[in-house]
Amino acid sequence: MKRTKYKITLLFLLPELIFLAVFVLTPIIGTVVISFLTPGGAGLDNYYKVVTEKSPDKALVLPDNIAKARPPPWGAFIHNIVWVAIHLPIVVFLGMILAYLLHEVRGSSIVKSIFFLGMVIPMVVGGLLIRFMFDGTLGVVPVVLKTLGIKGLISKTWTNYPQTALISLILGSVWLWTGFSLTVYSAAYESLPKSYIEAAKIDGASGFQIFFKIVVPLLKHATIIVVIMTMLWDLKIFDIVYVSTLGGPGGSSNVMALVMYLYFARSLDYGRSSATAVILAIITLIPGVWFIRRVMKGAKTR
Amino acid sequence: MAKVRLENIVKRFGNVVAVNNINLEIRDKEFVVLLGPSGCGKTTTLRIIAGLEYPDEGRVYIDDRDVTDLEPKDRDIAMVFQNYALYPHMTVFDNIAFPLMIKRKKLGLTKEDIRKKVYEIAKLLKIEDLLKRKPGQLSGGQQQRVALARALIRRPKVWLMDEPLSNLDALLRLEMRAELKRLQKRLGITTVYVTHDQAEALSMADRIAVMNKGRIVQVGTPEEIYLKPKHVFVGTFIGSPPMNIVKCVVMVENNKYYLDCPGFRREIPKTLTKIVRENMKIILGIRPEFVEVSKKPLPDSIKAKILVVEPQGSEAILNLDINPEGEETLIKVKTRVTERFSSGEIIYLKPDWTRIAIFDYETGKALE
Amino acid sequence: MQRLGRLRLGKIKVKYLIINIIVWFIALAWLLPFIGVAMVSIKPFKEVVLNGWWTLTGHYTLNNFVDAWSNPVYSVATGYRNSFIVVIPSTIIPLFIAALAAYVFSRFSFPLKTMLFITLLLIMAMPQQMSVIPLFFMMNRLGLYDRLEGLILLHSAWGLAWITFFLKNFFDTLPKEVEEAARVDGASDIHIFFKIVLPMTLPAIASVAAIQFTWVWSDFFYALVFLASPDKYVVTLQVASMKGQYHIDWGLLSAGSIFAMSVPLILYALLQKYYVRGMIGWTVKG
Repeated sequence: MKRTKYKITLLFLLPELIFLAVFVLTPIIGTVVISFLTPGGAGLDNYYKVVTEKSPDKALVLPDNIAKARPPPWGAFIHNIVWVAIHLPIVVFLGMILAYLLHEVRGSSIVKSIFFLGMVIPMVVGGLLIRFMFDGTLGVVPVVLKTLGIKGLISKTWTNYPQTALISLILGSVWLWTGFSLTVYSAAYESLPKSYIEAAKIDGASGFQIFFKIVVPLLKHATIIVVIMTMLWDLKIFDIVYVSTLGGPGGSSNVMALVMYLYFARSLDYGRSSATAVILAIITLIPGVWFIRRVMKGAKTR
Repeated sequence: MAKVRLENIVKRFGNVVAVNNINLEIRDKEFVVLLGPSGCGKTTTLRIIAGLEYPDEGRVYIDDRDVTDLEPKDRDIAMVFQNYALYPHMTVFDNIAFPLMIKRKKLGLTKEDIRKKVYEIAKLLKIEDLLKRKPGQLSGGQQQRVALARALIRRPKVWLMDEPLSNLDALLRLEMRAELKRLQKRLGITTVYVTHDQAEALSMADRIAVMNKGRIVQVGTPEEIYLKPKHVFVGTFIGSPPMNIVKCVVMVENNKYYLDCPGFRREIPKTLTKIVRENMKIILGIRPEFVEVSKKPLPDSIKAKILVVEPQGSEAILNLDINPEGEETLIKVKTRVTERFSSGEIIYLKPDWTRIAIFDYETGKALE
Repeated sequence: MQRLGRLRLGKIKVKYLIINIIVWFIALAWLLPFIGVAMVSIKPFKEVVLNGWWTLTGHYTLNNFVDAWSNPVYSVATGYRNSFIVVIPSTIIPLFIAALAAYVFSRFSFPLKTMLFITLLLIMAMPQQMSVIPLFFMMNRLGLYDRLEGLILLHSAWGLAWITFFLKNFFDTLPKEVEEAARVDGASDIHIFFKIVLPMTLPAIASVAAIQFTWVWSDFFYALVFLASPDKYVVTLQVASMKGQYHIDWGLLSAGSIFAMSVPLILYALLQKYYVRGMIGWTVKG
């Protein structure tokens, strides 16, 4: 009995293992190897150069043109962190509160579909739409602000100015990604036993109390999933930056994935490009390992 | 024509010993029920017979052939699962035909042969009208019949059933019990049936194997199991309400052996005096239905106070304290409703001493 | 809030009304960029610049769509063709391979199973950037650079991890008894997988196919790295290339964007149920 199982296991597993070994694992290891290679031998040189780089379109930490008064630009790594810091709480909060409110809204499935559109369209198109949203003559945001009588940068094309480029992309990514959070939360919310909420109502809790004392704690699992996936998405962000600003102007909306690409495609510097990729991969391991631990814990309790 | 023999079967899951050295012989055409609480190893034992689990130790024989290393498909068995395990994407016809379709070439059957057999078996189980439907469109009872039909179509040597009735509602369950039993006798298929429901076991089995913690505690006919439990576990697991347990101590006075029980005292039958010692702790097992109840004192009776009366229609269950003066000792007694009892009342009990079981307190084994 | 909750207008609670208005306002605001782009795409760009896309008066035209479809350099028609050539096999191949592996992960135990499973999860977290440089050399060596076949191989390989994870979770929820019944009935492992398990897996397969299709269709990074000539460009690349660095023809770009997103949108409209279940399923267990 046991014997035949090994045969079938190997037979079923082999195609996947071959594909992964050739096109996934070998390249990943290759990137790590290349990141240590320098003309003079092997070492951490690429990492050192990449981290201390000061030119605005490739700086990870601090560029030399850093605005004295109010940056950006910072380095691409900092931009990624800022991205997470702004994007994550908004997405979590919006998704959670909308999912909670939706059960009292007529046509809630249509509302959900509208939010979900951002998940369906290609990110490149998403980036173009963000560029459009913040366009000075056509875009929704500046035009509304202009009609409200507000002058200054925010009534111009946001993506063209260092002060507003990054934040416009981050807000745009909220627009794209809230659908994910809303979908996860409303699925989790629907699977909650309604008796909890009914019991709280009978115990005399108000809507706010029910939300914060009952619903939010019960949605903890969904929150963790949303946080992990959003962090991964934010750290890997590339497409929307590439099409809408290409990291500009003056590196003010640069992100790590784009820096890696610029080293690779513009400078043809494979060592530094790989080093940037490895640094990015290590950062994504923070939510990644968290994800893995959750999955493995779930597997054990099953 | 099939016997099943289990020899020293042991199965471990990690550190847990699910089946602990089981020996069991099932005779040809016999209906044997494995009965026990959940986690007692009964389902694992059944799956070992099926070949779905591989025992860590011991051998399985079907008709004196060692099948321990054989795949399920080579054992000529059929199995009915608790949740029926019908193939959801196939019609009822295809479900029933599946075991034959798979071995069609080997058995040398034409599609027409199979169709005939399916219709035959469907008629037997009264599901001819359902053949074109999918399992999702059937009621629980109908799915049950389809599962039985699928298990019957090959006329297997051994029929294995894992709690096949537990997903049905109470009325249907009673109906199917009788029908299953009738079917099994008519077709004469050796059957191993797993359940945790003692009423099901008592009403269907030729013999029952009561299991607990991975071991077989007692094997016997329903009558033996009910009237002569070999272990206090069997007594307390079977019967509703189960056997009452009273802890007593053996005393010797004037060369006579007595049982000193809470609320009463009684001489020990001669047959047992050789086994017991002074100060030995024993357990008295009294079935609720083998106790006579009276409002007036009878000779040699036990005084008891009624705590609660649970009417059951034609009979009532009295919850009693047989030691009203001392530490509370509860027993339940079943009585025909001829008189009105109310809680707080004092009554007198006269157990049928010939049907009282006596167990060793330490080992739980019956003293005979 | 308490008092507001009791206020009623006719039969409708005021609180209920306010929530509806707020949520629908937000939802419509969310939809606005789509409406804007749609309007820009069907109006002459001059009119859009002068009067804004929100005016309903003026001329309507399909010229932008015609231009985008048959643009001499970056044509959507070519993009569509290339995208479909890449996407269809890149959906089917990994789905099949991963289904086999996922079944083994769900049902059998074997040496290094946990380690392999963790590797899959790690791959799911990896950025694509981590693979492209060695792959770039490899594809060059194999003669697959600037070839759609190369892209198919890459998308297939990189889809495996999440699909395996997703389908393993699905297989875990299937009742084992059905397979055991088939084993007792005499079916072999391969027979059980193809005749019993796969048919029961169709809903999950639909989810995976919808999402993998969308992701490969939407991919930009691999296409950017591994395709060089415009006649090989997939639709996302074509549309991204329509945007000039300084001057943007929003009419053309809007039409291109609509072309690029309409295929996954149609798929979403058709398979909505599977889509949403898939999006949740690949992250949430069970």
